[in-house]
Amino acid sequence: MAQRAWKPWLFLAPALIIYLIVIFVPSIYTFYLSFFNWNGVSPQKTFVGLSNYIQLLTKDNVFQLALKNNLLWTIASLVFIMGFGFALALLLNRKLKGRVAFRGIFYFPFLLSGIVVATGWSWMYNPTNGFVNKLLASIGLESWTHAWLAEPKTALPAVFIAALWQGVGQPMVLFLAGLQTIPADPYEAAIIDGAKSHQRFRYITLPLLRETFVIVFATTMIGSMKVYDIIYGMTGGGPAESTQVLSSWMYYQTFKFANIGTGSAISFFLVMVTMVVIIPYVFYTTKKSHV
Amino acid sequence: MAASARTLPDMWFTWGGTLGSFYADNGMTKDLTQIAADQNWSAKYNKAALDMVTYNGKISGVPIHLNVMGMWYPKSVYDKAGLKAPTTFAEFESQLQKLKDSGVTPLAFGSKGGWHTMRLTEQLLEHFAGPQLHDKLNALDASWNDPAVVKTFEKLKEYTDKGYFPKGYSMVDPTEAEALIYQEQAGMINEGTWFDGTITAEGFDNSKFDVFSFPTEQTPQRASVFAEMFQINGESDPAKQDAAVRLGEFIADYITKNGHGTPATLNAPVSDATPHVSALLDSAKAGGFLITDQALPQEVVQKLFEAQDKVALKEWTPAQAAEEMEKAAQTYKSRKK
Repeated sequence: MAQRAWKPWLFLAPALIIYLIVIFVPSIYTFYLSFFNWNGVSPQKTFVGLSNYIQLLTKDNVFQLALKNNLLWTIASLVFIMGFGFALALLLNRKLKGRVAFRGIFYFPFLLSGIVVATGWSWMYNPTNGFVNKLLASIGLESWTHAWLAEPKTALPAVFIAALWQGVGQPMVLFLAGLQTIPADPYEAAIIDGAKSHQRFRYITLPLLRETFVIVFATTMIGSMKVYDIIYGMTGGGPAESTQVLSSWMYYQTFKFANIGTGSAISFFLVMVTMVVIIPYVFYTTKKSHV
Repeated sequence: MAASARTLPDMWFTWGGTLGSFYADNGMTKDLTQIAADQNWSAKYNKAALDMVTYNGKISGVPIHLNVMGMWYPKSVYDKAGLKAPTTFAEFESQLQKLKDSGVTPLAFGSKGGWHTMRLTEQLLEHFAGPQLHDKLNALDASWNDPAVVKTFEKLKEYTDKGYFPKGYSMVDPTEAEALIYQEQAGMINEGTWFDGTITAEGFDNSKFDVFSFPTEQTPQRASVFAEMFQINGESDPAKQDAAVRLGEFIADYITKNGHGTPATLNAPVSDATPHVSALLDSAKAGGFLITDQALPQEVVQKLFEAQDKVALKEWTPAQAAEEMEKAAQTYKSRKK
């Protein structure tokens, strides 16, 4: 019995030790540093209590904008990336000609690095020679042409469209995997009972995809909170800091300005905002599921 | 990261100003003052280069490059518009409209990242503030909420409103702005002594271009300059430190003999492949000011980039931009107290 109790721990130990050393301890140390004024190399760290957090919330207008942008980005990701991913999965789960090729085409951008996507889309948005403006002009919509990345109102949505193009493949594949685990029997029974297609979708497909939704929601949410590379590559946080997000502003504070305490405080905001949403959601959904 | 973990190599490349001072101020670099005296560096290296690698009276790096900035222009564009290099600020401004009328983009600047447009901003500031106030502003010893700063931002706004910059320039990559110059579709760009080599590397003929000093109309007429250097790890083994210094000097000599960029050494021969370097070096003889993104603390530099964009996008007035710059300077100073 005793052996049965400690055996799982023995198998977990290597991964747990690495996790503790690489993730947990540095996270706690980062939290500790968020209460100090420190440039990262000086032997002296000045304890400033909650001052870094207060400064961010009351005086740093870029941080406040970054927080707002992160929340908007997350909402947009959950609605559009999840939504389009789900719609594509439903479509490509049908017996269509060439559906395997289409699955590959839609998944392909997800395999590209964020910087590659950022470079390509930056050229597409180029105000003078970019594909987007050229296309609009060629179909008679010249008045719609725009310096998409150069204006604060359009910059973040323009970057998000690039991120949507890149990111939609991941939820699509996860939803497809979920859809393929649903057996045909309940659908056949429902058809015999006279259920219409929207009823089959509402009462069979959606409930049986609950676990997939948990996974997709969690990965999309965490990914959107951590968004960095595509923004850094396309706008560098500009114009006029209008596309800064928490990760990019944390990078600026930590590595460009050597304000380690402020950068650490931003990273803890990031963790806290993610936790506040994700923990209740995962608890709520897993309680209702069998996983 | 390496600095934070105290795992810096025996020597590393860096720029002068606030980028190199980070290591020196935190006691990570070897003090080379005695070595410089023993080996008579003052007879070997350009004084401006030595000044830019000196912090608190201590030489903290082996200078390798001294870069001088100037306004480069395609000769064909100037010929077509019937223009010659301007010698006064009024002439410079009148040329902008003439260049626009001739069908090119007068100012090839791309503000993505902020630093490219900053090169124009700092020239305007030198013109309006003059050398003394400009130096004080960079040292944060004078208020940025000053009429000279407001005038500088007013000019940026005016040039933006008149369409002198590329369309959507606040997010144009500097390399895209450079491409306009190579293709002779723009009037001028602010680049440094390396630009001869860059033009050639991009497959164009650098003899088709020329360069002039921005007419600040100040005395002395100063150019924007910056140095590149090797710093030596102050915690390395003394034998390795000596070897690192020798390697740094060897590289500086190699650069001098082979004409890579602008050497920091005195009387370096100028290669035929870089026909504009002599003129640029001469332009700095009367004096130079350290390029802004190395002169100011990095968080104040970032605020300057934000201010440039917000003025161009009409989110801040020039007066607001000057106020915000001063706020950023004060915040930085209070943090460092």
